[in-house]
Amino acid sequence: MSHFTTVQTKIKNLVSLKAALKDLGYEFVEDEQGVEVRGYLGQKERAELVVRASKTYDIGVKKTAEGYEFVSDWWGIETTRGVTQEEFVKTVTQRYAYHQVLSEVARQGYTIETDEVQQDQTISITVRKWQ
Amino acid sequence: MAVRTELHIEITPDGEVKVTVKGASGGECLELTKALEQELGVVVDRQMTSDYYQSTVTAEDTVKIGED
Repeated sequence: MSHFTTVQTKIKNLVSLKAALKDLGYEFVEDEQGVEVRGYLGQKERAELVVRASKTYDIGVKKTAEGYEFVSDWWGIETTRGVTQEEFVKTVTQRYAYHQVLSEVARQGYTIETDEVQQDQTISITVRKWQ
Repeated sequence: MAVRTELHIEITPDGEVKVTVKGASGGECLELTKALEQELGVVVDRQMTSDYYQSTVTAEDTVKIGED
């Protein structure tokens, strides 16, 4: 018996999220009191974790009951960083899922045999365990 | 006797995660992938099949973007 499962990824683990941002070359600052998110339509938006996406525009990471969400002036990000909202969310989500998978398989006692990025940017991992 | 369990995991650029389990019985297969599912998000659909040992975890990108 095997099964198919569909899950909706929700970014809930800050450790994996920060690891994903680092992998993608994003610098960020953290402060429990909140950091100002620059360029957000002239408003004073604040977030606990702020990605310094460019010299003038930031992406704020805010915690909600359902997980973390991103707040930004996406036009500014696209203009100054060359990354669209969709690209940012997709690449961060993929990298986040990668770190969540790695920590879970390690917790279950698996060893990583292969860890590659394919031509179509799919991350391919093989893990193994003897029991 | 030792049994080898192998997982093959693919994470697409869209954040879709597919897990294939080799060398595990049905119950084990479920146990192995269940934890991964929990780590990734909320399970919205699960279908049991009996023809082959494969498990697919489809992680849809549902990250909310704050535009308001």
